[in-house]
Amino acid sequence: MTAYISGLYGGMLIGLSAAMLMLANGRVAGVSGIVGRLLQGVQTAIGAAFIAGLVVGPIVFRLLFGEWPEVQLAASLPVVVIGGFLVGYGSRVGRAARAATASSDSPVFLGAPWQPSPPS
Amino acid sequence: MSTSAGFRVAVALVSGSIFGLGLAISGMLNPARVRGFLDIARDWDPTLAFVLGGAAAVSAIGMSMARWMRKPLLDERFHLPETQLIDRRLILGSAIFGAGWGMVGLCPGPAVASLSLGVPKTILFLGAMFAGMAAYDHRLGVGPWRQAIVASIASGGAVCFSLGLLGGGGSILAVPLLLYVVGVSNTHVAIGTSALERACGIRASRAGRERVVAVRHRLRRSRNIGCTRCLVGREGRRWRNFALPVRPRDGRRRSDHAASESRPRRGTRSMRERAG
Repeated sequence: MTAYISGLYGGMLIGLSAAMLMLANGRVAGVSGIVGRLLQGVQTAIGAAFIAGLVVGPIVFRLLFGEWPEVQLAASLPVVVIGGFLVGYGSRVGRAARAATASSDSPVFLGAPWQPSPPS
Repeated sequence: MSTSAGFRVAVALVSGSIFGLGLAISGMLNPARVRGFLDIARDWDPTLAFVLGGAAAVSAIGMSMARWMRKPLLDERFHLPETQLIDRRLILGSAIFGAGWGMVGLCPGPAVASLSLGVPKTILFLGAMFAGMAAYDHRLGVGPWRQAIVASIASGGAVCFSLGLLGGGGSILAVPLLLYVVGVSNTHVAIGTSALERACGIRASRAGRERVVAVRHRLRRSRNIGCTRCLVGREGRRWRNFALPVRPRDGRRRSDHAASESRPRRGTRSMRERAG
């Protein structure tokens, strides 16, 4: 049960982080997107700062709770390599749509009206 | 402007570390936890659902606030994904992503965050993930990925057909096909890819070949017949012709038959007879 509670708290922190980044910088806290853009050399300063913070996160955990977070990785090395490749590749395939359409400055949103328009 | 840029970087840093701390507290840095959630067959661990719930609840508040703002606090406009359309490409990408995620139990966030823990396997995972991203970005280009995939499958089929028909024409076809049909721009990449494919293909087919030889070995040893693997018959004589002898029709024991100097027939046919 404590695992569920800490999961909930951890999740709320993740949500807080995402909300913070959206409200202050207007950016989505998607790690694969940020890493992908870093690899392409786009938007480096903010992305690098976010990634650096992400790496610092477990160190903050260590300072607060006095131990490192637990990591058990049962998968064998080839599985790790194949899985990592699939995750990276899949994240790019899913994002190709936006790279292909990223030409105009005023993107068209389907569904939610994100454009500054008076709420009705 | 520069102060605002500095603030943006600072916010990103703080936001990232809160993200990482949240991942650590929630236990999501632990791939075993994540796989416990994804693997519903064995004793299921619903922690990930709580993490998702908490994250979605808090970020939903933030998102609804953002919806009422004309621009973010520190920037000129919101930088959102240009499309929110769920299309086939997104589903395909998510499926590939999910396959890797399920195999290892790591996704980009925890993989990056656990860099500070220095676990070799997660570092390896990150490297493979970068390779996957780079492979997509550089080899296929971003635009005509579908044609490229179709062209690669067609070229692969042509290479396999030629190999099956002639026993040759693998790499000699693969390089020009990669260059002109698939559209790899760099010759060296094409040569390297073809060499890599050859290495993997040979390694893979060698496993099948070894299994065949092992089965034949056990079959022949159990019947006291000489074998290509050990090259020695039951009597210690070197087996010359690598083939099974004719099925004895006159009731002699096979070992006797094998010992005689009669010329054996080709292996496959007599093996088929033996099985039938």
